[in-house]
Amino acid sequence: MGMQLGYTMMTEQAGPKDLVSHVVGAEEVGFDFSVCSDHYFPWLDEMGHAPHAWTVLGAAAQATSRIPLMTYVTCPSFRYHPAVVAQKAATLQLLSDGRFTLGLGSGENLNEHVVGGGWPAADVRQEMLVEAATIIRDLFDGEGYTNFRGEHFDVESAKLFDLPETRVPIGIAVSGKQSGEIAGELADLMIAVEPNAELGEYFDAAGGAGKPRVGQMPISFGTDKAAAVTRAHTLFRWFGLGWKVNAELPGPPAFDSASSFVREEDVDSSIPCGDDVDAVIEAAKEYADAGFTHLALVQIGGDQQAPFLEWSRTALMPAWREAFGG
Amino acid sequence: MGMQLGYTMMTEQAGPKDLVSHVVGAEEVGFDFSVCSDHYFPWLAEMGHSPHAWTVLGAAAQATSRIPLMTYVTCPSFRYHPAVVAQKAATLQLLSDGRFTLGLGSGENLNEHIVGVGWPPADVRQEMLVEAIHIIRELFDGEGYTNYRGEHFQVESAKLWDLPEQRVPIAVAASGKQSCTIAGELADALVAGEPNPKHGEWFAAAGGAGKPRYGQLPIAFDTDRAAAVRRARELFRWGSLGWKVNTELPGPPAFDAASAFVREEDIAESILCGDDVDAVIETARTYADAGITHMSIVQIGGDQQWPFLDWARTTLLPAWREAFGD
Repeated sequence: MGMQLGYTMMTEQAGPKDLVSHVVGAEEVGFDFSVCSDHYFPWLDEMGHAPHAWTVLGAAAQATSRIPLMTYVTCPSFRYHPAVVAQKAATLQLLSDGRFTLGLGSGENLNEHVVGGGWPAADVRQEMLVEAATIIRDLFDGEGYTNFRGEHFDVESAKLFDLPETRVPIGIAVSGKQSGEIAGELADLMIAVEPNAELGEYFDAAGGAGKPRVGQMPISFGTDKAAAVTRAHTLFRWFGLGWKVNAELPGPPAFDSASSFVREEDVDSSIPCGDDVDAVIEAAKEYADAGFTHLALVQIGGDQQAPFLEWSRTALMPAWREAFGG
Repeated sequence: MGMQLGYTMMTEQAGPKDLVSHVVGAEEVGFDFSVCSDHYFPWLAEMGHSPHAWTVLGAAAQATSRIPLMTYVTCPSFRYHPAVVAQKAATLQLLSDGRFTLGLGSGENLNEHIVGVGWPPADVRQEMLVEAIHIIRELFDGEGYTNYRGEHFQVESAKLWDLPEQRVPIAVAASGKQSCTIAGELADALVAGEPNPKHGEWFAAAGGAGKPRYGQLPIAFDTDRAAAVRRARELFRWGSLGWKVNTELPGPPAFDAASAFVREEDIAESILCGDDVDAVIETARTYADAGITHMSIVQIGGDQQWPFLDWARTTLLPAWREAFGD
């Protein structure tokens, strides 16, 4: 099978009912899988939304019947306790008849700051993620009771009573060598948002060889190219700041400030805008060349999903299958 | 309007897909509302289940269109952070088109022990509940950012981005004067642990006059009364231990030990078993007389919901309407 095409339920830009109807549309159109972000805040005020991802995913599992669902990504270390994340994931796997993948990451201050307590350094966040993934794996094993006394988390006699027959696969977000090794050791698949082959090599070396790699790429589809660029700038000007910035800033006002020097031409040169399907395929090829097996597109603009889905059906899907098989 | 009849999605005794199909059945049969427990553990190993309530409720909101939904009850103090409970509740209210009520309580060691911080005494748990309600109410107010530095919880610059037009009503579980007073001061409805008119009086005196009061009654419906009694003993022998015990014990083995002296005849005296509709109405009347406006029935036995729903349609609902009005 070639590189699979995914749809993104981006919770920062649409309300819960719209997100559910969009993923129903994506299933109808023929997307191979879907992913869903998990936020407490949008990146920018202009994006305007942040419903609770797991409640939305429960509804999405009920409303769809074929399309795989995935958190992309949940941080199990601050807002949520890892033992609760394991329970939610197992329940969603049952509700979706085995269509769920648990994507985990080390978190963003944007979302995790709400619980107070301060924002630890990146290596501490990675340690927390490792502890959390270890706890979740132990609960998924389903052998007796889980007890854990870590540096960051305690678990006292926990056990999942509703455990699916199809174990929930765990994906871990990778942005460098340290996280690549963690993913290789602990995850069933790798998650990354840049087409960097090195990340896959770190993953392979630590045990990830042959396992799926799920990437993500924003586009701003629109038949009016100028409007598409303007929309991408309005809603996604934070994107190019990169994860060294995006994991650290505490709220939309900070992202507004940090992105104040990003111009429309900067956005235009980094995000495919308009309706040129070849440009999307060309950008997607970079991910395929870097070893990605799954690529989820984000259509920028919560109110621009229906035209994107229609274009996907008529133009993108046929071109994608031709380029990447399927 | 007379006393309303509710259906209970008891997560301790059924898996997520069954819970969703049961509440769809309850809507079809004509129940006035539904409530859903929120556990990490069943009371007894024999009950066998404990899926994540909020993911199930997301699916239930999608699968139903009329019946009100309610957590009965969620503890916002240990497994969950109150700011996340507020986000989940707002999302569920949007997904259900305004059918959701957030029922809150101070928690049970059975479910909350998993996060491993020890079990504080009852008055501390009440303090935590009060702080959590303040946080949730402020987030529901939706005026600017919520900051909170309490004895037990911190909230740092939180805000709900997807806030329903129809505010989520908050109900608070109470079992004595202190908790009824808290409910009267802070809640839109009372969840009463027993049909005690005093609870309603305390609630009213503290500000709850004219507001809804919820009650709950377990029954073991079955045309074979002896089988019903056996089932009730097998799955509900913990029920009569009372809340002074049931909030404190840490797991199913402790509930098994604590209920070792409860005999079938004890169960037959305290839980309605069989198919005598008049007995159900008579017991429900003690709740109506105590001022309860909404009464949910728990049918004991995860695999005994369909015969109960059918009996509810043919027998219980007509008798209920005759006794308590529409």
